[in-house]
Amino acid sequence: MYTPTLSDALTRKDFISPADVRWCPGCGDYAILNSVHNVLPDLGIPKEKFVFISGIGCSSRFPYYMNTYGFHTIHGRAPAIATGVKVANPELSVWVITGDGDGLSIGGNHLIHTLRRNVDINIILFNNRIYGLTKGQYSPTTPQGQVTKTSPYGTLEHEINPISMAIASQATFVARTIDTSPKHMKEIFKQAALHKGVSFVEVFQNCVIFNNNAWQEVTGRDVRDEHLIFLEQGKPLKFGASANKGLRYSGSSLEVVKIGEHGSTEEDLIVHDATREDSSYAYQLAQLSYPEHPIPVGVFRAVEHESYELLIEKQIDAAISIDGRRNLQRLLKGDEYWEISEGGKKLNMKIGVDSEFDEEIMIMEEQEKELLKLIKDPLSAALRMRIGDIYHEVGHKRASIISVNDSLAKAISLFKSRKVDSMLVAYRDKIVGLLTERDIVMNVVLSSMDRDTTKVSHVMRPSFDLISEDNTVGDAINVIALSGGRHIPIKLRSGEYGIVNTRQILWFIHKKLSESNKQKQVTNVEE
Amino acid sequence: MGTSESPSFWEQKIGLVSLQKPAIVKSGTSIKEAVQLMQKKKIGCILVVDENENIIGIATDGDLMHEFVGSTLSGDAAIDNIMSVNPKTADKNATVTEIVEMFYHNKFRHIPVIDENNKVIGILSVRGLMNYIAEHMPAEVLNLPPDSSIQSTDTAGG
Repeated sequence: MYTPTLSDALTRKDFISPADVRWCPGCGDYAILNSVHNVLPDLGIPKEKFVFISGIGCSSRFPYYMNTYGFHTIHGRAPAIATGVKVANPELSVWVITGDGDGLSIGGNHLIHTLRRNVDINIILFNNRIYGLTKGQYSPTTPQGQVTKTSPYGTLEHEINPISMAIASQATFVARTIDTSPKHMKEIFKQAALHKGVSFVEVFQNCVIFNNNAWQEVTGRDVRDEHLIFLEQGKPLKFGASANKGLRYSGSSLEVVKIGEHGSTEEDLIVHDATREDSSYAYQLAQLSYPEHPIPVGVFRAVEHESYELLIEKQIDAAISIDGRRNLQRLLKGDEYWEISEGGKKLNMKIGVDSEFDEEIMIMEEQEKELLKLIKDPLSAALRMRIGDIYHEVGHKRASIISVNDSLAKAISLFKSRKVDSMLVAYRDKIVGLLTERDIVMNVVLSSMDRDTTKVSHVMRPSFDLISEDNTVGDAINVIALSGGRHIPIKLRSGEYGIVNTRQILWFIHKKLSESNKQKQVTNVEE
Repeated sequence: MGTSESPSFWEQKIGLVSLQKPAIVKSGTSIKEAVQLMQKKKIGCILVVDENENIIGIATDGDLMHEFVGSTLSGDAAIDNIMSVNPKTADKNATVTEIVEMFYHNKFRHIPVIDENNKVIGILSVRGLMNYIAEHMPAEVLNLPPDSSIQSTDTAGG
């Protein structure tokens, strides 16, 4: 029987975050973002299992725009953090979003080692051949000779080829796609996601402001068919507007031939196979460069090796099965250690750790005792109770709600007629703020604002944390302490809102403490 | 309360709790000026003193809301019109327990704390007391792990 699961119902909409996208109009990043939004629902993975991790740069704003878990981390270090995330949570689908500067310069080292470790994560490198976020300095992929803000007479440096680097780092899945072909991008991202082990995808991406048309000569619609070669598994390496050109071996190197000319036939062309264990073929493809050769896009290499996080898991299991679980104290002390006597005059060598004297266990027991003591403490116990208990025992007043668009005059009359000292402010169905006596007094007395035309939205305190009635009293005090207010709105199980104030919380704590003390006195008498 | 073991906390003198600096005006000061001072000192009440610096009244946000806003009084009227006269004060040697009881039995939420010479040393509010508890019990209040059930009403990031 077929049972629908959550992931079946996911659509691209589920992955679009409400944040405003802040890339320049015309940036290639938008197309990449769209393709990722399109791919994720197809993977059959629940939404909460996705994590997007980025470093610094324009591309690294990506996690904000994904309605998934995300981590905008430090410059170049996204691969290191992603490795930690994946090793600790192997069930997650971990994506690294980086750029040519972040991934190849600042974090070049991290990228190489993550690739060679074969951690099962997906790395997408947006290559626009420039530092865009910092306004146009040359990057490791800027072509030699290009004039930029930091190379007024042209760069002297040889550029990095990201695909060659990834293959040399023994990446098990290496691919390239272009931001102007959403269909190809989606296909490549999907393959990358399905690959077990590290996936590295370079995306030719255009920076419309600081390096416009960086890839125009190979990806432009008019020249694309002549200058790009699409790698397709099991198919001959063919390209050209009329698919009349191809690649074949000439000795050990690749050469471009026109089919039908000089006796060359389609049978002479190389049949693409990304699964070759020997990476030299993939490397040769990576070395093809414009204008002598077409530039390959598609999957260069896709081989299966055991991934790092699985190897770690296995190693830990194996070690435990042989040696059992061991503790850190034992490891730190080792088999022999020196003990310095008081005054430092005498050195005693100790051998081994007395099995009965297990310091770590003692520390843990100590901590447990402390914890128990804390739980028995009546004040602590009161703080661990539900805030809903206060609402129902002491307060029991549903919150008055006023609209952001209501006038100050209306708010004032409500305050007086309902004898409340605060109200929640709503916009449509959402609570957006709190209005207190003080907000009114301070604004009305000190300014000449018109009570009939001034809206509540003008004087309210916007945005605060809403807690549910199942949160603890401690949670509530925390929110009050942080917000600087005196009232805490709580969401009731019924879906309605209530307000609890500091005085009620104090009353409640006081009451609980008196009760517990009375109980204690009774017990003492009985004893 | 005295028999409670660990919360020596409840026996502490309120003089030790960090008090708010009081806002004080002379009798006859206008409501407008008084509110300006409250705003400047970021405090929800103002003390009114006579020429000998004796406290003769207290006015709070609530008083202003209910006695002034919407009334026929002008902002230039004296604060004396709306203040509560002869407010209760607390001795700086009172214990936290005693103050909690005081807040429990009275409807006010600010109390002036005085020293042995009847001089006001600060204002203790319900909120101040609450914060004191929060600082005293960090494990239960402040150092909590992020709670996914607490919903923020604004969007983070971007």
